Amino acid sequence: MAALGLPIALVLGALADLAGGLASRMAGGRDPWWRPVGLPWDEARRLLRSGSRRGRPTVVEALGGVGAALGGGLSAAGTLGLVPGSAALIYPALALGVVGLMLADPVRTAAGEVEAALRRRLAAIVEPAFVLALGALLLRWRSFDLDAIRADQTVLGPGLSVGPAPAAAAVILAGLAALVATALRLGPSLPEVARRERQARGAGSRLVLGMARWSVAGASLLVVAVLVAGHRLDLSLQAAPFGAAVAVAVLLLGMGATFAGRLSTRWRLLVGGGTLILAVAATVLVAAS
Amino acid sequence: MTDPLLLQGAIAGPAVAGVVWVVTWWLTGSRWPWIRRAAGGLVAVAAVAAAAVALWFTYRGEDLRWRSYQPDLLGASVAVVVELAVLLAAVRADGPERWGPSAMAGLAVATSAVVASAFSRSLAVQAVVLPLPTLGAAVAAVAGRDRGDLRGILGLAAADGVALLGLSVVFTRVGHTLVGPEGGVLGGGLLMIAGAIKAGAVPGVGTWLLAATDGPGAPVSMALRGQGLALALLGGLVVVPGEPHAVTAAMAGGAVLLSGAAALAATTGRDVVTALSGAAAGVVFAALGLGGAVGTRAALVLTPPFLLAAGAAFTLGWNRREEVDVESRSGWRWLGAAALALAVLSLAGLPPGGGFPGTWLTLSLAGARAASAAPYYLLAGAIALGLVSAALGAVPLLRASWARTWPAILGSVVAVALLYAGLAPVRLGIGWWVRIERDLGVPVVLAASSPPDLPPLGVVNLALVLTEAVILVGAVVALARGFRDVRVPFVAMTWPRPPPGFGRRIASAVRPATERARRASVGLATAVVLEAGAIVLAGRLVLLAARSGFL
Repeated sequence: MAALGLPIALVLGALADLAGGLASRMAGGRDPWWRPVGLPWDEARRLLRSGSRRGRPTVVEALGGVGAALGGGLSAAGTLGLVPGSAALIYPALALGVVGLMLADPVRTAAGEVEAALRRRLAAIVEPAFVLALGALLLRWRSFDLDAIRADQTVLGPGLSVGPAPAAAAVILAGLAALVATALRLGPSLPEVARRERQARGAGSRLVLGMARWSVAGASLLVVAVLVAGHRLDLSLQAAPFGAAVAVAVLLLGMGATFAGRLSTRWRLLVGGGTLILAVAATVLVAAS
Repeated sequence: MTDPLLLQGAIAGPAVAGVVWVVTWWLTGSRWPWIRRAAGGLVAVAAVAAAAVALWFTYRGEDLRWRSYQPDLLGASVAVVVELAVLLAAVRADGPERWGPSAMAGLAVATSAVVASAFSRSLAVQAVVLPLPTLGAAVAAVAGRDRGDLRGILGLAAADGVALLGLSVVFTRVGHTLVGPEGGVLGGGLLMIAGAIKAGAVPGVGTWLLAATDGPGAPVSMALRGQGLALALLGGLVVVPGEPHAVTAAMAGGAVLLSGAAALAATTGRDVVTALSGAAAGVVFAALGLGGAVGTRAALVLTPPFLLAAGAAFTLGWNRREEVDVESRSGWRWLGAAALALAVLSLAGLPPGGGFPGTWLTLSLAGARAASAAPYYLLAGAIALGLVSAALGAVPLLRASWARTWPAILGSVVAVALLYAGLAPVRLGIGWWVRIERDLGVPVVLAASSPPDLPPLGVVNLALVLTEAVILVGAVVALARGFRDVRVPFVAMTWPRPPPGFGRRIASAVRPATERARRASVGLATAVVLEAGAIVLAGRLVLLAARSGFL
């Protein structure tokens, strides 16, 4: 069953990118809305046809891709209860995914590396916000054990509906902060990357980066959805809140990542700071309620 | 007959290897480097083999003994791992003529002293060998004339003083010459403080400073890390077995967080390796501080992977200024990058590295303690954030990986071991840690109370997801028909410079005074005074031990 984690994370990540494509199209973008999912297919065909050395990924990118996929797969499997899950597994696995994503960022010239370093800096700045938001969601249930949290929600109902209003508000704030932090950590979408640097990056590098991105995005939104609304892996009516939470998280993350990719560095830093404040507020609210 | 030979080989082996290396260097100069490498390497491998056989005998329950040396399972294990880690560092100590011999001599003496200390519970032996690694590092530092090295010696000398003070307290309390569990919290605490400085877990002090330089002190830091952990285990597990120390845990959590921030702000590969190793060492102290049977097990499970991963990260990631543009074959670089990635994951406690099971146990224990005392959430958060920041800080190091032949080969052997330790910690170590816990007499936790226990997730599950990930990326590599070879420099995260203000004014006001102090060698003089004080304390302890029948 553990093997299901990675495919689920990849599918959810792809769906989030589709939502981002839709948002981009609605905001006046020229690309078709399915471009984020169609592009990897085009890249794979290009890679198969050309066979040039420039299209190949580097070893570091491949290592990053493996790390991101492993991190996303483990996190998704732990979140859904396919393997024994606790925050002590989920967060390191998600962190492995992010480190893998940073490594999968294609290796280029020295000038390009400076740009990649700036992106890493942003990821480092939003990491505390993500940790705090995740901490607030866990603190809501006073437990590190995701199995226990899922069991509580199965008995009591979705996290949002349990307890006083400030606690529910804190859960919403924390979930939002976690999604915005994830959007900032993901970096630019694949079509954005392809448009900016088609000459500098190989199709293989872009494919690895795309998979890494989907894996991290899918696993992250799954964690948020489960901590906000619990989960059941069946088609009963009680699974509806979880399904709805996943759908909302997919939409928010996809749109957030698209718009975060268009912001200037300064604005991204500002949004990162705002996310940190949001996460602190959520933690304080949870602790007080 | 076998016992003395084995123990003598394991203890004196590293020092003899150093002597052989220095003599062959003196005889052959820089003409035939492979002669000194082969000669020194063979003796060093023989020393590791002797330590490994000693470990095997103690594992089987046989009682090895030679004079005051009677290794238990914990000490024998620490000795083997330290010798292996030092062997990795020694590959890089074979450096320029200016300081190569002094670095190798310092490393060899320090390693022998650490193994001697690990093999004995005698207070007198501990006191005699305790200052030797610092003296070894000082010899190397003085030869290299590196300011960073000399600054590091100051902290190490202070740590020696604190450790000897701790041993004196233990001696006063137990009333005999063996380190035992009646040593008291103060004695154990002082040993742990000294251990933290020597393990490089305290940012900006002692081993941390030494490891971050590109001088001869850096390789010696590997032996010092081993000594630091040996001292910490002595203080935290032997003197006060399994007792929780909230203050130690809190300080360790803060140190891990600071180390993570230092890794993010690092501007060289050396700084990253130092900060990452510091963060990982801090987790061992956090586990000791959390205490109980689970904390003890976490510290035991963390120690061997930490030392091996720190050795691998050092041999693959540490570089001198003149090595930045060194060319190496792409195959070795690729192998080195993969090995370095596993070492980094192990140090950062991320799956599937060898440090993951112990870190998982530590975080789970902090989470379990948080159910009754909420501040433990902060501890768990600080450890997690510090480790992840350190891993993010290591990204430019991995991207600029440049390993050469021998570091790549040795590093990948260690990486495979770390991967196995991360995948199957129970299969690898259950007999080992259960026996050590029984010997130490740590509190037993009832399974009915559902304590956090290893493994974090089954070996099959972890291997399954890892295989999936490899197949996924392997498919892209297969489509592309291979890898592209690109080499990029280490690019730091370019943190913005602070605007000229209050801090800058203070710095410029203090600078003339610090320059004057440097010219007058105030730091070195203070280190000499501190170390002399430590040696006097050691002498006093030996005399006291002699009066109570040690001789």
